[in-house]
Amino acid sequence: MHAEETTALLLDRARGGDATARDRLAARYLPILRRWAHGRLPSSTRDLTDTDDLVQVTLFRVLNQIGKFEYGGAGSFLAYLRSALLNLLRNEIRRVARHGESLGLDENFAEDDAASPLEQAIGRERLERYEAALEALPQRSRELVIMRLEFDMTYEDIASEMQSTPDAVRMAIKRSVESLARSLGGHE
Amino acid sequence: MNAPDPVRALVDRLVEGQSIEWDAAAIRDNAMLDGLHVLDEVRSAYRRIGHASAPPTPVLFHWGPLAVLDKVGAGASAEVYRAWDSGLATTVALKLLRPEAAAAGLRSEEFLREGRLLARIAHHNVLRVHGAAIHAGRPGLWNEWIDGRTLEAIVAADGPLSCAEVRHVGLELCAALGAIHAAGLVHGDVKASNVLRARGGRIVLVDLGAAGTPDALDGSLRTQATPAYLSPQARDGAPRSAADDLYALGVLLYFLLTGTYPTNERMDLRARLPDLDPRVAGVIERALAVDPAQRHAQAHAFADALRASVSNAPAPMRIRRGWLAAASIALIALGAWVVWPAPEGTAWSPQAALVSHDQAGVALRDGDALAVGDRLDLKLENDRPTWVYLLNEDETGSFHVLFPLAGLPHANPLPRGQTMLPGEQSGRALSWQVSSAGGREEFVLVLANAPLPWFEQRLAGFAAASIEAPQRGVAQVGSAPLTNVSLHGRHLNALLNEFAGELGDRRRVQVIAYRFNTRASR
Repeated sequence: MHAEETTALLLDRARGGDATARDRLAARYLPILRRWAHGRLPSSTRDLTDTDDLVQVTLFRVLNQIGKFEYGGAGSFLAYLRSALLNLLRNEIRRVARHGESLGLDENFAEDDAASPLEQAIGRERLERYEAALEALPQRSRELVIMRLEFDMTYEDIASEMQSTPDAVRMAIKRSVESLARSLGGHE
Repeated sequence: MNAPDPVRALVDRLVEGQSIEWDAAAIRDNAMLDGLHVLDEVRSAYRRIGHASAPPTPVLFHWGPLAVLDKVGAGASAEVYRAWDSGLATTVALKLLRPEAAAAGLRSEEFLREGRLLARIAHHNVLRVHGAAIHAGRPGLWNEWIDGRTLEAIVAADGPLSCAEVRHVGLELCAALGAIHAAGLVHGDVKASNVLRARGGRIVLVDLGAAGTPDALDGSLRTQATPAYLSPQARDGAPRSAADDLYALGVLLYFLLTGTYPTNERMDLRARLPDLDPRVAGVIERALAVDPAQRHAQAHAFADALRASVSNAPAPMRIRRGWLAAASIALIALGAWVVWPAPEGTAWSPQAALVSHDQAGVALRDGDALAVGDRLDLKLENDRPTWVYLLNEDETGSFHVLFPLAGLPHANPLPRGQTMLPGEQSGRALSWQVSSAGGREEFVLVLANAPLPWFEQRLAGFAAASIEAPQRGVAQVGSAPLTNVSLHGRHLNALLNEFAGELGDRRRVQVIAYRFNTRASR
């Protein structure tokens, strides 16, 4: 990621109709979102192509309507993409569930089939608890946590995204994680 | 130089992506530890799922979403394989029904039943199921891969365990059986070869192939249990119950200490091991008493006895996370009640109220101010056996089942008469305690005059409060019939919508909702 090509700058150019800026944004976020999304799709729809298609559709849909996105500060575009993708994935899960792609077993198994790898790995209740606590964090803290814990981005990339320094984002992430853990543990 | 703050040290490791030895974490704050553990799981899962997708090679064959790597065991009806789940990007244990067993009449449903039972139980000491399905005509279920050995293999290779190790295994298995029994199930085949010790020390109870509800454990299933672990009553053909699991646990602990099994005629543990702590020997001997009335009545009582054998102090309350806190204040008569009028034509008219534990049992009403440190109880008076379910969700969406809870002396159905929940344990009064301020707390209380099996099954998938430290806070209390309350909690709303039919039968079920706002102090 180049410092001179901040997300804010690319977004400005993309809003002005610059196709190259749109492509650069797509190239920047597609691999991050693809990797993130693989854990979010249930086994009943778990297919690499499906996931990649969904990510691509989401990203291009957002970029095609880039004028509607209000830039809320550093990092918010990635959080916005995550939110859009999460909604699309949830719709996809509901769509598959409606079409009943189960094996004719009982409801327990239909439920298992509808669990994403992430839900299976962490447990649905814990994941929902995490999502709720994450939602309650201040926006900047939430974005820092998402970039580090979910997207596994380096401090340098996060600093570039947030227009800050690696040391500053490292400290801010640690504070945010501690606050999130406290909230998850029920202290707040 | 001051030692580094242990919370900061764990946060550092988590954020830097370094591995964490959770068992060795020096944090006394269990709630904080739990929060950090969830975040570590989230981070690890994203990394694992996002980065790895290729199965190890070579692959024996593919079964549905799994790449089957090698066979690790075989029984009369099933084969067990190590497999790779590309979705989870992790190794799993896959149990496939043998084609011969299918040909001999073992139905897929019967085989897959184990997965269905495991899916009802979410507990650290019970094997976690990942899924069950039929692919290429072969039914199979897959669950977490435990890297470890069975207790039977450990005793065979290394000899009997120490007293301290046996006590630890006993406590862990009491917790596992408590969860299984709380789900209304009986394991049915507790034995050394069905308990794994994972690398790192986690004790895991596996193989619910013989499990079921007590009613469903008919003669054919009884034969699946291992004779050395059968209670005298089960050997005589008596119906199986949770008590038989606890007897089998006594046999297992005896085996771990001695490498042999107790005989019918004589309980000779102290004779075999004269140096054994007599308190531990006493706990195991009691578990193996011929007369069921002399044995530990429930898993939590067994665990309490094991804990008490460590010291002469009363059994401690283990506090991980949740709402129950020990208290010693005597309960006094209540003031007002929240009364739900019984529908016409039924004699069932339970009365229930959340009451203040600290203010002489005064019933909580709209506008009452509660604060951090306040303790709550639920007072129930009913004219026939009643099933009680108490659920809680806070503003962050954290959802817990507060009752019924494994480990409490009170369990559903509650007998007719007056009952105070959560009740007492080991002579100490328990209560739900307010411990943090700010935000919304909502409660739903469900009273039923008959079991609600589907509702219970759903609740089994949620986190239960544990008998531990107080966590959260309350300031204002409101109570009203559910129809008049608009709940904000999404878990509660989803659950009530999902079971609208079952909970909507006013002849059998009554539902009361409460909302609280928290504040720091009075």
